[in-house]
Amino acid sequence: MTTHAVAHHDDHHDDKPHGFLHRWVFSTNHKDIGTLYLVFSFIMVCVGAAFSGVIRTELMKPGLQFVQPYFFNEMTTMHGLVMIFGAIMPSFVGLANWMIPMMIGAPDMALPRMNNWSFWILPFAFFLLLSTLFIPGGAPAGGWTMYPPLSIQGGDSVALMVFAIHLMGISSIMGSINIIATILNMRAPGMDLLKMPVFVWSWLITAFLLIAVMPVLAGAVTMLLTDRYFGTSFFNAAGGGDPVMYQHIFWFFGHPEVYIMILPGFGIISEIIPTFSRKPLFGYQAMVYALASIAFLSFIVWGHHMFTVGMPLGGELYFMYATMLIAIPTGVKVFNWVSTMWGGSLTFETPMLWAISFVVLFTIGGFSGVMLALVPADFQYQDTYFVVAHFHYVLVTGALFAIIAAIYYWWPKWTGRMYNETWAKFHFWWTMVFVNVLFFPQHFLGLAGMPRRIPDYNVAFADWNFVSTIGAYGMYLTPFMFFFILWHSKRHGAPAAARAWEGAHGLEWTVPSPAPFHTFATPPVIRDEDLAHGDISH
Amino acid sequence: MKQTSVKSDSEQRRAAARRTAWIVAIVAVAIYLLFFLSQGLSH
Amino acid sequence: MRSKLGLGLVLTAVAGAAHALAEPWQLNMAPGVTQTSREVYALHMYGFYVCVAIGVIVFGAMIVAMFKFRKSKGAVAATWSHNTVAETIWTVVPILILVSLAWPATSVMVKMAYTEKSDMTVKITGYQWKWGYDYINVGDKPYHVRFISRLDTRSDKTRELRSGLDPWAVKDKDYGGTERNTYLLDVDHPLVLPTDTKIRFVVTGDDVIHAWWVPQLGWKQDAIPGIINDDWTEIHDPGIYRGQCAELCGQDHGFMPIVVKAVPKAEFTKWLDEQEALATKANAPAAPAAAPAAPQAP
Repeated sequence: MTTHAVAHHDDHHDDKPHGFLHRWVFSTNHKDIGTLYLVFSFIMVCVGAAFSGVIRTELMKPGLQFVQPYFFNEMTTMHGLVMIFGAIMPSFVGLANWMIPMMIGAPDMALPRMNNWSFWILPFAFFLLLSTLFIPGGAPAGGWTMYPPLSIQGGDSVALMVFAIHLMGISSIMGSINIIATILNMRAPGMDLLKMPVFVWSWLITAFLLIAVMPVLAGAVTMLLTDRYFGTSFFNAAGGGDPVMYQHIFWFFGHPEVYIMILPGFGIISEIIPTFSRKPLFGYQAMVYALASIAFLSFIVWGHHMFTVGMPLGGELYFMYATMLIAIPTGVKVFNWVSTMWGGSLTFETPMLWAISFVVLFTIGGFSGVMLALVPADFQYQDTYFVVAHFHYVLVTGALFAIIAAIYYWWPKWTGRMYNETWAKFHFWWTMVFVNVLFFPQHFLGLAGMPRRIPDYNVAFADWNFVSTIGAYGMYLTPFMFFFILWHSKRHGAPAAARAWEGAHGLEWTVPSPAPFHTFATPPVIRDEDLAHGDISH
Repeated sequence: MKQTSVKSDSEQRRAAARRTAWIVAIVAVAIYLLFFLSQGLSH
Repeated sequence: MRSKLGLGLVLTAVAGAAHALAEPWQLNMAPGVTQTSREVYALHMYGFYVCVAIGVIVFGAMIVAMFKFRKSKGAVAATWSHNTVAETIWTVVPILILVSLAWPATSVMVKMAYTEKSDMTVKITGYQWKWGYDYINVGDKPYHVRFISRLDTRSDKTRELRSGLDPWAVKDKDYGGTERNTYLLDVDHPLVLPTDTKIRFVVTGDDVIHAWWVPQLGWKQDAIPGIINDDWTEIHDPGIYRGQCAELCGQDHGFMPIVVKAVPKAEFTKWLDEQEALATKANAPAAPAAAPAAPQAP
């Protein structure tokens, strides 16, 4: 480092801590912690992808060629847990850490030391979870939903899984506390709530969802733990408990959870599309209200995950109607994104390509969601590959695409370097092709009658499974492409301007690229023209 | 004079942030206990 | 409902004749063999077409925007960000569309939930990893026929890890006599049911949660320990209808298929009475703890 001389100036804002340990392990800087989150989730994406590699390889042909059915179930379970809690959620928290303080003109997160703690719990949580692969009895194999009685039939992986989920929950809750406190208390003077970027809004709402439901999940898995080890009968019918009660509690967590994984994505897309359309976001307030309504509705629709457990007719109908209501605010969001593009001056840099494909493919996931809401039809779809296709469209081409879009969009701000546009476009188109080859045929498989979570199937399902596996193999190259593009950019990329994109608005683009270690140590003077949504009078 | 007023303003904001954080944390713990107890007491 | 049903049937004809088993490269749901399943299918198709129509409008608008408003073509960005009329339209119209979806869904749902006035009752029990079937009653007459239904031996041997056996070689004659691949979709003792009879099922689980699903009947039902759910069906066409457990239930979740053999009423009554005779004989006091009688195929 050449900053040795600089380090003597105590008041210099840009001296990073020396040494790997101090810089990264003891870090209280929101940007470094954001980076840690993103690196961690990248590793977890690769781990989760490896698990899905086992699944898709076994499913390539009928007959069991590679793994025993029990190990297959371990893989489906771990794939779900790792991708949800290890990949998607932490990467959104990473983006929140990096961007929220810069977007609202705050010097850092409100509670920097707790921020450090939130992150450093995660590696331990996943050490516990992944270690179950190597213990007698193997990893959890009851599905990521952990339905009892099946989930507590396993070996001691039950305990490790429950503790791992407790840790992840604590991490998420502390992260959310930090985000709420930052957004509510640390905004620069003049940054009114209704002038905040939609990404910040989406995270404020998401953080409240997390606060409300992570404790519920923690409660549910604690009950699993006591049922397994301490002789309670919360969910044990023989002891007077109710296995369906677990599902109610789990999905009371689980449905808000799926929106936790998509709302920040909505926020990201609402930043990117206006930038590359060179036009203000259409209906800013409607977008914020739509986010809030989706979040509210997420608490009252959990039963649609359980249409086949035998709820009374009235219950089934209520959950169907409530679920269908979600289509309205979600539709408003999609229409507003399209209207933002309409009449704009569009260019198609890589973040915009990912954002547009997000709108299209997420909407396809939304369509199958509307179909799944129709109870009688759901009696056919439930627990088939149709559902698998549905939630991969919203989580991969939805959440994951939004994350990738965000990384391309803010990468110049983080590193001060542009990436190679040609390679990035290749990465995009390659992903576009293979992600659809991977997941679209799964709609057909489910409709034709293939249940999910099975390691082997009738030969009638062979062809589409083969196609799907080819798509998966194409997808497994994409993390390497992404890594290479980012690595190359970091080393050799062209320098980025402070306002890296011509149409970009927002406080983060008023600081230099790369963003200095400390930004907005004194609150900026907010000028409306700097903001993406400064003037909401028309 | 101006310097200190900026400083105390940011101190105030940090204190407010800590308050918010505690409130939210207590809410989270309350939800956890509520769910757990409601299940435990119903048996 | 009728017109939509007609539309659904036309579509089936286009997609190829309905089979009791999935076809290779099959794209769509099978309309099934009961009035309910056909209504479910029609609802599914209606939902699908609604989605396609909305997709055409939304994605069409995006495509037009992407070509018309390119900066490279000299497009200058407008500054408007509101349009009350448009916003009202795209809030109200989806509500109307949703109501039009919810209406038929509710009517089918109400019919499916009506399990009363059935002609007979069968109890279905999910076990790790097999199904138990109890014939409780036909009309007022109680029955004691009970048997276990598990994966057939050929599939079971073929599905062993690296068995070297060919899944494509596992074939069986269908109801019509055509030979079909039944790998993992065949059992030792199928559930025999009469056609044109309202059959009530009571579904429960013994150990963990399973789900009983025959796609041709149009529904699935979770089989949950400690809970009894009920459903009904009325099969029109004689045939062999195959399904699988649909709720993850442990290592052999993928290997507990369901086979329903629907036969004409007279044939069914004859078969059931034979089974009843066997069952009561086996349960006679002289017989020591008899194993459940294995039924014979009619």
